[in-house]
Amino acid sequence: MGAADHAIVVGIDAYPSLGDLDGAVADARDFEAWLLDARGGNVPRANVDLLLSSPATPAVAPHKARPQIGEVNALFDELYETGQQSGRVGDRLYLFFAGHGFAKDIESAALLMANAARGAVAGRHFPGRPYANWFRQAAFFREVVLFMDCCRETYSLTNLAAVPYDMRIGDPPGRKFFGFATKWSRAAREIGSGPANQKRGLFTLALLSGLRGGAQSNANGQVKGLDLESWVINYVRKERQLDDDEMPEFDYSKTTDLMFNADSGEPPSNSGAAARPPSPPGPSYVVHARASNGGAHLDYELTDGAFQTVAPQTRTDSEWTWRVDRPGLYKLHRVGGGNQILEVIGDREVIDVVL
Amino acid sequence: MSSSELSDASRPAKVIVHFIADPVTETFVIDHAFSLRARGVGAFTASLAPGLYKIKFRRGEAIAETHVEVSAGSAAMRVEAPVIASSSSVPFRASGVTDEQLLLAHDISSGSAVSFGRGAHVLFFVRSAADALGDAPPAQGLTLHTLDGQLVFDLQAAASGSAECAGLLAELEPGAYRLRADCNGTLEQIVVATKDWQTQVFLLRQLVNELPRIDLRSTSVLMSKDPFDPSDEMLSYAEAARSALAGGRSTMTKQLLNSLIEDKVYSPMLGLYAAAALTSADDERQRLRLLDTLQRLLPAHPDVLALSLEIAPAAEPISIPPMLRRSWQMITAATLDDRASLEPGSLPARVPSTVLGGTPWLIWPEDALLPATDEAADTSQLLTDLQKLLDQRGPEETEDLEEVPLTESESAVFSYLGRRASLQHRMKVPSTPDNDVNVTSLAKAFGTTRQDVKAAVDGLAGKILGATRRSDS
Repeated sequence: MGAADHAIVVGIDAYPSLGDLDGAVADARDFEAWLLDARGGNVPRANVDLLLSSPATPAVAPHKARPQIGEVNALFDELYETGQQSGRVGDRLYLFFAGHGFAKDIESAALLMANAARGAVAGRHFPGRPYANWFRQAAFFREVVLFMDCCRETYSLTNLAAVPYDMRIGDPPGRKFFGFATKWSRAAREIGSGPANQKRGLFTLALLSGLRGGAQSNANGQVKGLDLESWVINYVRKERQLDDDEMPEFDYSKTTDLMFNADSGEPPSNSGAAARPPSPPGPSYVVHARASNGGAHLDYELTDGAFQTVAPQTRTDSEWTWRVDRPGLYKLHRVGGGNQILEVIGDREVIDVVL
Repeated sequence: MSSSELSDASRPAKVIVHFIADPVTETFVIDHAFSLRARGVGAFTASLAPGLYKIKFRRGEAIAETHVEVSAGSAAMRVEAPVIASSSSVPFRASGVTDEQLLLAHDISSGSAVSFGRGAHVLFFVRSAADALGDAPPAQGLTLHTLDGQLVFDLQAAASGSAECAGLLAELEPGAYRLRADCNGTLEQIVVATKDWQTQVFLLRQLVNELPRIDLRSTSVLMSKDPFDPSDEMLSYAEAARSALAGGRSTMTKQLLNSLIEDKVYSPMLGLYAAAALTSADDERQRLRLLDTLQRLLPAHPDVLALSLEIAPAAEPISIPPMLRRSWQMITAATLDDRASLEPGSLPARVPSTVLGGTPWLIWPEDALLPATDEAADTSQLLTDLQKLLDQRGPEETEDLEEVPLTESESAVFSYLGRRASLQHRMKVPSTPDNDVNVTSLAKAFGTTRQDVKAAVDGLAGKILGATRRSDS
């Protein structure tokens, strides 16, 4: 896995007509970093195309803002032409899009290009799902992975662009793993993340956190699609109490699930990575507990999902802290008081509990 | 040592957990590492290793969550789904409506009908959400029309009610009607009045793009033999199924589905929602059995006719649009495979591709309806001329055409033709009848009707070919 994989990554922050975003370019760069990581996608650098918006400059007329649809189309046309000539382009195709977007219905999600405007969407959007499905059905790749961290507002009166390639049915069609930031008709959300409170797409943040050690993995560091989905859903739900129609949506076959991250026995694809570095630790958290009634001489116990006790890091008469090196469900028990099951997941390092 | 490293002998025995929920509620059991361990619909049983679990319940699009501890050595446990609050246009007790609204909906539904015809009853009930109160009478801007556009009634004038809700029980000739709402432009959807049934249409005036409007996307339609009863659990199940269908899902227990198939519950709308959402090959047998029941219950219903296209081609041209967008997609696909045709000049032949998203209903802007065109007119020559133009000029030589004002549909078709021409040029693919586009291939590519493509090509040819002739001269 990796050496014969390809990727197209697009991130657009600068939208002169629609209003700028803050985290799409950072999301695209971060996803690219995971793709190139020998422990992550392990995709050869030469096979990764990255297309980003440049910082908005007032001098640029909105309709000339870039990237425009022709630049994205050209990347796909290149894969199409290769496939038409050879019948197969590679093993896995990764598609990642971050920016403003829209969806006409549950089946459609499109990235709006930098020159899009309300009422001027035709020819200024890229429909991710139809293209992903086309390359899957043509069997130009064994697997197609599509992630879209885009708003999916309903621009109801817009015709989605159609894929202009001739129909081609390969045998067998490629397997799929599609993930969308929100179901249709809801805006994706950006949140402040990390010490610098940098704006990031919540979906991408959850996704990469899961791929980089958060989600359940096997002994070789690989994550099943099912576990990645569950991680992302729980991460996003923890960060934002959203209704179901605002939650991320995934589409894949549970019976032929895909695996993510390179097998730890696999050689790195990119030159310069002489040896595979050890896997980084997953996210760690601090649980901070204090009494609801401000009582002193408190006695707490924190146990993990297997009922193993976690030793406290600090304790005073009124406050206790624990450092936990695995996300998950934990039970906080106040001796002589109540219990609370905690969800230790998400972007915030410190989990405050009042019990 | 993690639990996965324990030998079988030392691993604590699993605990039987009974999950209790109604037949349209899904339950997800997530373990301490956020991996999904079990899921089910309605009541089911799971065998779980001792540990901490997160339990997620989903009903329609509403979610409720809880955590449970499964202790080693526990006797069987029972986890019951809470009451899950969901927003709905239907004045159910759980959806935050006032007693006045509940009472008025029931009174109007069980009262005397105002006659506009004979044989079928339809309840129209509209209420204002809290954020839209006081802006305008709730039913303002709502009208009912025949399929050819004749006004049947203005709901504001015909309804009774208060500042927060209004309703009307109308007796109508059985058949399909156009429900029209002023929503920053006029939107329309189909309502079907069926003999011997009371169709119940619930609407909500709420903030749409920060303005108080009737929001047709959240319309609820139920059917009952009896007057509206907010405590009728079948209505509640149907409303949850409609909400799930908006998300493209069907969620109900096999027992409930079998009850629908065997016509043990009188809820044809629940059946329609279920049949529209059962799309996978795995569901085929049940879908066909359910369809058989629906054909007996609602033989002339346009959505049942649409679902029937899966079994047999349409006997006659389709002249009535369906209520559901999923049904419209089935009709569109059938017309492109010549399993059905649209009656020339009829309302379905004029439905544009620019229908509203984010809703299970087929809703179109009234001013986007396609003109009733001459079906016999041949668009293929115009399409050939457009392709020739793009072939001759090449993609870089169409900049002078960028200023030509095109509709969204025209622009989409023009971009598509331009890209194909560019690809074929670059790959040196000769233009042949096999790889040239035609009206049907364009309609398939865009997932719309031939009529919609013809309208776009006609418009495009008039503007683009006209502009090039002007610039050439």
